[in-house]
Amino acid sequence: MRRKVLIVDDSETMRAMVSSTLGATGFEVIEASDGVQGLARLEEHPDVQLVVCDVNMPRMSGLEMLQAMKREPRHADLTVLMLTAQSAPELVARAKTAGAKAWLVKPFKADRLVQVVNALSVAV
Amino acid sequence: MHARLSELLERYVSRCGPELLLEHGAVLTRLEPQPEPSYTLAGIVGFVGDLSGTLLVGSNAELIGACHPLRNGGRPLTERMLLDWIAELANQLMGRLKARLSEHGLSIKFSAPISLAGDRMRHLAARGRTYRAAFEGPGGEVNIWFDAEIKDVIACPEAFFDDAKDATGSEGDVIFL
Repeated sequence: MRRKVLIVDDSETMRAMVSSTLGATGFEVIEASDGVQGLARLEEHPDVQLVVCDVNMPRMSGLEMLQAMKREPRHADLTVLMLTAQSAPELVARAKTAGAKAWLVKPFKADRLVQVVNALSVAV
Repeated sequence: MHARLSELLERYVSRCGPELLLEHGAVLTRLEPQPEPSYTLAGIVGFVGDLSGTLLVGSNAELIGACHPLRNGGRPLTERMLLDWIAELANQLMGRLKARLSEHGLSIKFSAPISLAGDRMRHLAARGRTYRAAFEGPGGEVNIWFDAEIKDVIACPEAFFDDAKDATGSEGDVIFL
């Protein structure tokens, strides 16, 4: 069975890039454009194994979505990779406290993303 | 004190644009900024904190298309795709500037980006000082306006004005938590 990943980013271009990269490595990809839609997608797809999430988004940020996921027992154990243009240590620390497993700074090369996702998937 | 901080901002605004676009495959050369350059696509990000204001990136379809990640995808890039990409570029540029400034102890938060398309767009500074940079690349120009008001209470030790140690950026870095 293909592993399922949820990509949450307000940029269609970034979603297309990540989707194409992870789709080519065997993931089934579903998408959301902000945290609110991301949480709804998780309800629709309870078999998601990995969440790749931007930070800076309208309506609900990636960190707010992460915190909401961790409060919900059905999603609390999901592996989350934050994928963002920001690299401020205080944001990384907040993501760690909230339960994210890795933080990748944009822009990034496709092979870097695959490397990180493979490393995380070992633990999925 | 703010004069030296202004020099620092000028430097980063000039450097960060070409660094970022190079990551996306476009080589830029510096131009003397014109008072009213023409641009048809704009990406905009607002920020607050030790500095507050707005970042505006203005360019055109040819240049934004030339650095679009899906440019070799076999189908033409639509205006929507170009608008989405210039917004993301503004977001990544603001992230790069924020990272540089945080090396100096300055803290800012920024909004999700928006983008605009139009034929006769013009920048009008709202407040603070405008830091400008202009570049020529494949198919056109990129203009950057960084309008920033600096908080009066910022304390800047002498070492503050040294260049950030990480001059090439931390993009692509991964941190396992």
